[in-house]
Amino acid sequence: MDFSWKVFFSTIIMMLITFSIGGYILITTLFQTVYLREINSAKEENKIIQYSFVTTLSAITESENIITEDSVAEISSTVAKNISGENTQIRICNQKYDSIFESNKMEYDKEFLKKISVDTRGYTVLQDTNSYYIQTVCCLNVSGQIYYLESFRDITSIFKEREVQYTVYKKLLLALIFVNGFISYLISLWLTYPIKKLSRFTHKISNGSLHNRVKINSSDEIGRLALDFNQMADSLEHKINELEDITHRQEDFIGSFAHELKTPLTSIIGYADIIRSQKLSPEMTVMSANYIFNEGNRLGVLSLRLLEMIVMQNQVLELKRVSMRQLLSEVKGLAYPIVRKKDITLEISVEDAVLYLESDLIKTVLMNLIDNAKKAIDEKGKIIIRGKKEANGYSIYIIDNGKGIPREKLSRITEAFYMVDKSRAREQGGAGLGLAICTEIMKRHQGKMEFDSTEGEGTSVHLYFKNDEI
Amino acid sequence: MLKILIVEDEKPISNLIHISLANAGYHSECVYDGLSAANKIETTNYDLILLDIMLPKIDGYELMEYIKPIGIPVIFLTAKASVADRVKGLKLGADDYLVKPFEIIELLARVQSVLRRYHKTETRIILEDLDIDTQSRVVKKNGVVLNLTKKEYELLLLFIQNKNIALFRDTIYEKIWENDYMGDSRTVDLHVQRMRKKIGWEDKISAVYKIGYRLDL
Repeated sequence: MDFSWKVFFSTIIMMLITFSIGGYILITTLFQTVYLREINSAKEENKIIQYSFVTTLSAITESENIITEDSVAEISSTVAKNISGENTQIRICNQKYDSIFESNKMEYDKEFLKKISVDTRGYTVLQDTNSYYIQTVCCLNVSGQIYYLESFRDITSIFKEREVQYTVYKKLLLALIFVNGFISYLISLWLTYPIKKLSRFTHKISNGSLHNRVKINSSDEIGRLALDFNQMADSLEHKINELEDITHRQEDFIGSFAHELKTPLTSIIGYADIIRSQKLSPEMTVMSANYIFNEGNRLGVLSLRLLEMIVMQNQVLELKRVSMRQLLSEVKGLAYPIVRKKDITLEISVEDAVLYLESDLIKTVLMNLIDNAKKAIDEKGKIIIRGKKEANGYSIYIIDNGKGIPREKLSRITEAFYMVDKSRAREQGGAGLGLAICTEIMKRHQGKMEFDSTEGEGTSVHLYFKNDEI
Repeated sequence: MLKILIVEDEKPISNLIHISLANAGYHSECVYDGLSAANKIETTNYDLILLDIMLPKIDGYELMEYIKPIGIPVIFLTAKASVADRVKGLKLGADDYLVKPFEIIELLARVQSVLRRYHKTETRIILEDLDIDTQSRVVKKNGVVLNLTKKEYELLLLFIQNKNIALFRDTIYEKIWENDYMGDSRTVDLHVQRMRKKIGWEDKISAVYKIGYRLDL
């Protein structure tokens, strides 16, 4: 059931209960007040009757001495004429409960009289089909004679009034309930509209369209919920994109890895197959064996590089204070044999600083970058390494004047197994993992590695280490 | 002579296929990237293309789209072994799919089967003193019909398709009996010896020590 309907029905039930009870209490209280007033009036009336009856009777007793029932009746009729109105009737009975006088002919029960003792007064309410009466009785002892003075007050009208009040109230209640139910339904529709909207969007998001966002312009709880919800969707989308990215990268890595592994294997197995199953000329045998040798080496390089990468990913960094001047001079020593072969000048200028580093790993990065620079240079090139203090860190630039990297390929060069020029990389014994390893090392040091390159002019690599302790 | 184009950027592999095809009697040409492959296909009429998927400039899938309307049969060569990749290749219209690393005999068998499907192989093989009709499976020597069993006929064809290549006993067993070789060489030896005796090629099909047999021509 919809929330709006729940609100509608609960409002109706709540109103029905409270208004019914309230109305009942109100009408009953009103009725009770009128009823009590009527009883008081009945008593007063009875007193007046008693008074005038006793006064008249005493006067007669003084003059005549003997009181007959006829004279009592006569007195009664006089009294009754004076007192009784439309609503009140009088009956007077003797000791034996026989009627001496009745203002109207009446058949009211006389049982009640027996409960009344001398000189007291009592009342009861009588119901006679559709009419209600208050029967007030007063028992008198006048000169040894017992008289019962009864007055009957008709109170049917107040009962009728109560009935009318009930019916009117019922109708009013029904009308009120439906009007209010309808209004509360509309209000709850209005209140739940944002919730429904939110639910619709949640549904969309759970169905996979993560870019959906809710627009709810209110500052209440629901507005805040929508805001939180959007934030949740944002972070969810972010996380999922990240995961997808990771999966993609892993798939790419596995795909490239399989390719890099299977390509040399195909040659090795193929040429070995030729050697073992065919009669080959000596030249062909040497060529085949040479292919096997080279491709075997390639597999060797690949497995070493991979191992390096895996070890590095799992290694705990042991950061030590390292003097950059010393580190770079060590690198110069290591790089010298590499650059000498190609007649390349290596120029190093360092501003000294002390950084917290794993120096072996940073040497690996620098050696990889120098090796790349060397590979980019055909003949007589120059590699410049510059160490520079920065405001909150330290920068190392490795600049070469080699062939450069095409702009469109620059963004991909740090991907594992990516090679700008595959055949050239092969000839130089690359596995396509160098920069991937460097990236990983820099990441572990919370550093940055940026490339800037112009085709035909050279490449500049910027390594940046954040260090607050310089 | 049948002409095959090898599109493979890894020179060692390309060369390997080239040598193997040449030994089996095919003429083949090598190109090392997608673009030059497209150029070659434009100018020359090939019977079959062996196509690597990861190629510089234009990749194998893109090239396939280009080749398909021309109607040249294609066998994909690739390191991608996943089912999804195979399905993608075959859906694009490749005739077969060869996963690296592969054995030479596997390559030749696939080439043979695709060419046969396109009716590009000769249905009549005339070799030395033999005249073989591959459709009616009749082998004649100097005009006389030889009575070969089914296995002997298949053995003979296997040797002819792999001329000058030593066939290992396990390879022969797996190809002809289509079962995994359990190390029993008696069956292979018996059939090869009976077959070469029937056709009188005792001198041509010779045993190779510790390996198997080779047809030398």
